[in-house]
Amino acid sequence: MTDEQILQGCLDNLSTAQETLYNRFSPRMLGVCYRYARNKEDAEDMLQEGFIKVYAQIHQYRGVGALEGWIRKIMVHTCINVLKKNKKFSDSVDLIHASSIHISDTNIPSMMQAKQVVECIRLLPLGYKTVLNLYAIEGFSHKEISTILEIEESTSRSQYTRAKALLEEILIKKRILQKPRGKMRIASAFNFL
Amino acid sequence: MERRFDMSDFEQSLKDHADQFKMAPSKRVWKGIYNNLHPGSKWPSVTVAIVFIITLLTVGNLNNSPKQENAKQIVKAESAKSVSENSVVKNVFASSIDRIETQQLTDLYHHSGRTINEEKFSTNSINSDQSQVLTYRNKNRVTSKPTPIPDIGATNSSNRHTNNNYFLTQKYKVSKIYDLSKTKIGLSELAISQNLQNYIGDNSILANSLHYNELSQSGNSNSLKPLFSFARFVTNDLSLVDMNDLLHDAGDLKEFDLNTLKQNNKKIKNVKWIYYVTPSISSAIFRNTEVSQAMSPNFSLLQIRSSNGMTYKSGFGLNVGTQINRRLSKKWDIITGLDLGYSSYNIVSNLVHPTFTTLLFKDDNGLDYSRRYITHFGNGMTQNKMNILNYSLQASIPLGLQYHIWQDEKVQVNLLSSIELSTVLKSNAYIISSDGRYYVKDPSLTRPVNMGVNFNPNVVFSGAKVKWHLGPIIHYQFLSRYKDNYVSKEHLIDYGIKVGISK
Repeated sequence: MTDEQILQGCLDNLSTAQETLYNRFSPRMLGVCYRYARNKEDAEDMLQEGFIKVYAQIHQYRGVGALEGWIRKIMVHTCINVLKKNKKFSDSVDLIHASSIHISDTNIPSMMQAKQVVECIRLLPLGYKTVLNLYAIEGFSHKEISTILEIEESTSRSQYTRAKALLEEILIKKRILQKPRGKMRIASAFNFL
Repeated sequence: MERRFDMSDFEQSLKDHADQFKMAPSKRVWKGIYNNLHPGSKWPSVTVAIVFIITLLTVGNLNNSPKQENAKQIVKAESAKSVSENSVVKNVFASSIDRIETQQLTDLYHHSGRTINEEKFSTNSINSDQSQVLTYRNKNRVTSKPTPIPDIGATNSSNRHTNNNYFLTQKYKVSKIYDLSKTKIGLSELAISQNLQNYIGDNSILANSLHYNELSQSGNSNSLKPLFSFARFVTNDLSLVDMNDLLHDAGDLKEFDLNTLKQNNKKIKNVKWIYYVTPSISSAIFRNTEVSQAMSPNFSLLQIRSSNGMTYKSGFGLNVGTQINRRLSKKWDIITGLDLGYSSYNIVSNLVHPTFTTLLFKDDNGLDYSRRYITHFGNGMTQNKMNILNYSLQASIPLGLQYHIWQDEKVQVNLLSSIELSTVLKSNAYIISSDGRYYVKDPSLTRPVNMGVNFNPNVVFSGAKVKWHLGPIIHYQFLSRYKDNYVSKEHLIDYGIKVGISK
């Protein structure tokens, strides 16, 4: 089925089209949710809530941009709303506390590269990884992040900077990244992947 | 969300890796979404729940109500042993009084030319020398609060009525009966106006028929409330007539009441509980919609090979449960109950090195798709044979009819047929791969709720204390054990002997 057929079927509330849409995008969207959630169960809850919103708002999709991007946007906002609802930000953005987190080698299982990176991101404190996810992966600006998370823009910047540093430390510690020599930038080190 | 164009290499690399990441959501996610999008499709589970609740309520009602009714009837039967303490007599007395009031007394009153006020006590003269009639119709007597009434007979009233011994004797008897009936008819406390008290005070018979002092001493009321234990029964003529009628009708009504009791007892016996156990030989019939030479019903209790390539042998089965029979008519019973059943059969297999195999399915649109499994069970066509036990433990609620073919005092022959709704509590279901070479197990393919039919001709032997139910039973599960998307259908079938016991 093409995207148009799926869209039309979803508009007609056909379960086959809805399931096709779900089967097509749910694995990737669950990967998105998983980066924000504490565990897979929470991620699946977010995914479920997000897809219900997708089906409810699918008539608002104008065909501008990829359907996946539109769904992804809904998923991200759903995840943020769930996190805000659970008030996880209030007790997890303390930078000093975050820097003292000990990460043992056994916490990261042996996985494929993409999952390794995602698992390392998930090891960050909730505030860090949320800002990192929104800025580095989803492409939001710090201003947008400050609006979404209801924090100061400067806070978003500082959290992102520290999140990146901490992630680098984790990646090196887990031997996913090579330790940069001299003033080697982290991006160069990432090319190792 | 506008994508920033100032992303560094780090962020781009991070994004690329993160975007590649995929996870497979569990089935519950789609189920949750589907149920949210299509809430109407919950009706099967809702229907099952409603049927289950109704069944429970019916069973509970059938189980409890007759016992309570039985207890009442037993009390009634015991009280019917003595005429003087018989509730029937009480009813007769009350009905006789009503009859007297509505017919005889009305005529008498009318004859005397006096006005009758049914809401008040009144007296009338029937025979000028000694008869007084006092009547009272208490339309609210059923709802009046029952309180102890002093026994007129215990007041030694005969000593006070030396000039009317016969009447007093009758009065004593009837009042005794009437007192006993107070809880039945509710005429426990009658108020009398002061005027009437004054009037009665001048009348020796009525005055002695009323017990002012006893009630006033009880402290129930500041006003004088004499008890009319015998107020309606004051003339010799009336009492004689009524007593005769009373005793005569008592016999009739006693018989009537006993008949009613028998009928009620019969009604009670209309609900019968049977506890049974059914050892059986279990097997399965396979039908493969993809195989042109569809499975012929070559069922046997020995090892067989089905059209889809499975080789299997019959296994052991066992059902236990309770059956409730409710009499519909002379020949028909409706039956329900609760059954716990275990069915099993053995698949002939052989161990192989772990290998991949495939199962073919059809989706809702009829399109084929496949799943790959890893297994180490072969199809049993080579050496190292072994048996794999396929079993199913199910709880079910049958609903059916039983026809009484023939019966005498000791033996009853019945034909029972029922349909049952079952839920799978536990199961182990290996199925053969699409190429027929391996067996694989996928619990997600198992249907959680199923339906089956039972056919059970049976004989009931009446013993001294219990009845024995004995007969062969065939159980066939007409929905496949597997969900519809699996092309091969498996129908469990059990052949057993049902042994039951009931009172």
